[in-house]
Amino acid sequence: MSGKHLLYGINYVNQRYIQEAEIYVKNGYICPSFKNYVNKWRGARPYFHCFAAAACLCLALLGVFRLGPNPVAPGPDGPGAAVPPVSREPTATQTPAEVSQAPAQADPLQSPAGRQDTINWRFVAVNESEGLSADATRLYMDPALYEVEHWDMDQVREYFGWELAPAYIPEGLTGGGQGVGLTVYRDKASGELIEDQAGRGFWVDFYEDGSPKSEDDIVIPKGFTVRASKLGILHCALLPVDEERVTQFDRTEVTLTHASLPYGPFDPTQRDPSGLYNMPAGYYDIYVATFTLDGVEYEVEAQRMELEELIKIVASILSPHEDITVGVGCGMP
Amino acid sequence: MEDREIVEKLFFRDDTALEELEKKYGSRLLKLAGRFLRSREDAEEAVSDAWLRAWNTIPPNRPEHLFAYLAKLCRYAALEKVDWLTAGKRSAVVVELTEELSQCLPDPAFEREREGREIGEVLDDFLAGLDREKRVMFLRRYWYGDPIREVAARCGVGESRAKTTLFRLRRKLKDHLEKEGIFV
Repeated sequence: MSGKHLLYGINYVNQRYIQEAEIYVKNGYICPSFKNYVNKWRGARPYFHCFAAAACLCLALLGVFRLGPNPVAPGPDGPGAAVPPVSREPTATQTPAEVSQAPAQADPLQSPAGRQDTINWRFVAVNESEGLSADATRLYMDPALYEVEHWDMDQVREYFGWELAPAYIPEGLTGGGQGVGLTVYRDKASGELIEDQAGRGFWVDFYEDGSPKSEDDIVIPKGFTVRASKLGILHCALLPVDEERVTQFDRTEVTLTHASLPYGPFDPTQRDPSGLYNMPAGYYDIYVATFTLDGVEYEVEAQRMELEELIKIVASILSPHEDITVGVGCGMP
Repeated sequence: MEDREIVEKLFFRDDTALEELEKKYGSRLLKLAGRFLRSREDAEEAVSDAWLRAWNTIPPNRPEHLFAYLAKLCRYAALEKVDWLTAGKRSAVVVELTEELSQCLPDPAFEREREGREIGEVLDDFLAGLDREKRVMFLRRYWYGDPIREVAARCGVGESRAKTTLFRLRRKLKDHLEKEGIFV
C-alpha cells in the first residue's frame, strides 16, 4: 500500500471525527483574567495551569512580604482605562482551571501593573479571509454635498477619549513623530457627521512625507494601524468570512481575521498556484482585529507581524493598565 | 438556514437546497478542494461535483453532520480530479496499457471504494485511541490538507510542536497499520 492509498482511505473515517476537526476552537475564548501576557505554556494541560496559578500566588505573596507593595504607576490613558474591574465570576464557557488562574479582584497586595494573567492560544479563534476587500478604498465625497473638516489631536482626544496610541507598541515600531489627525465629513444639508474614521499608524520606518517605509527588500512595510470610528468603520481591510468566529477578551468580542497576501514584483511569465495572479515575489501575513468598545468601533490591522503581537496590542487597548509581559508569567521563568 | 432544514429540502427535492448549501458551505468546500487542486477552476468543478453527489445521495442518506458529509464528497471529487489530471501527464502508452489491464478488474471504482472503506475502519480505530487534540491535528493535516502553520494555530501550539506531534502520529499509525496486517 502506498501513501496515496492512505490519503484516499482516510476519506472513509467516521464523519464524527471530521466534524470535530472542523469545529475545533469554534468559539474562541480568552480567560477573563486575560490579556496581559501570552501563555508561554500554550497548549499545556489544564492541571498544569493549576500548578502555574499556585506557583504564581506563592511567588506573588512571597514578593509582597519581602519587598512590600510596589508603587502604583500612573496608567496610560486609553479607552480601556475607564473599563470597570474585570469580573471574576466564572462564565458558562470558562473552565475551572481558568477561574483559578484569574487573580482575585482588586487584590490590595498587588498593583494593577503587577497582575499576570494568561491568554491561552487554545481559545483564540482566527478567521481566514480570501484577501483584501474592495471596500478598503475610500469613497469619493462630493464637495458639493459634503463639508470637510480637519481635526487636530486635541479634537480627536476629546472625540474618542484617547489619541489612538496603544499602551503596547512592539519594539522597533514608532508613530514616526506624527500625532493623529482626523478628516471628518458632514452633510451640508443636515450638518450631521457622516464619516468620522480616524487612523494612526505605527511602522518600522517612514518616508519624509510621513508615509510608511519598508526597512528591507520586501516592499510591504512592517507595522500596524489603529482605526476608530463612532459611526462605524466604512473601509474594511479584509474580505468578510462566511462564518465569523469571535475571540472573547473578557466581555469584549474581538474578531481576528488573517489573510496571506502576495507582494511584488510579480513575474508576468508565471501564474501563482491559485491561478488568480502572476507569480509574486512572496507572501506576507496581514491580521486584523475588530471590536467595539464604549461605542467606538475599532479595527487594528497588522502587516508582517505575528498574531501574538496583534493580540498584545488589542489587549493593551482594552486594558491599558495591565502590564504586558510575553512568555513570562505567573512566576514561571 | 439550519442544516436540518436543508436536508429536509433535499428530501423534498427542492432545488433551493442547493443554493442554501452553496451559500452556507460553498467557500469552505472551495478552500478544501483548493488544498488538493492547484487551479481554481478545478476546485470549483470538484465543489460542483460534491453538490451533485449530495443531490443524488440525499435521500436516501440523512447525514448527521452535513458539513462533514459534504466535505467528504468534495474531498473525494477533488482526489478523483487529481487522479485524472495526473493521468493526463503520464505517457500515452502507460495510460493505454493501464486501461487495457483495468478491464480485467471487476470494477476499479468499486475496488477502490472497498479498499478505502477497509482502510477507513482501521483508521477509525486508530483515531479513537488518540486524544482530541492529536486527532484534530492529524485530521486537519491529512484530511483537510491544512498547512502545518494553520494546524499549529488551530491547536494552539507552535509549529515545531505540531511537526513533532505529527511525526509521532505517523509512526504510531504505521505500527497500528502493521498490527492490522497493512504494510505501507
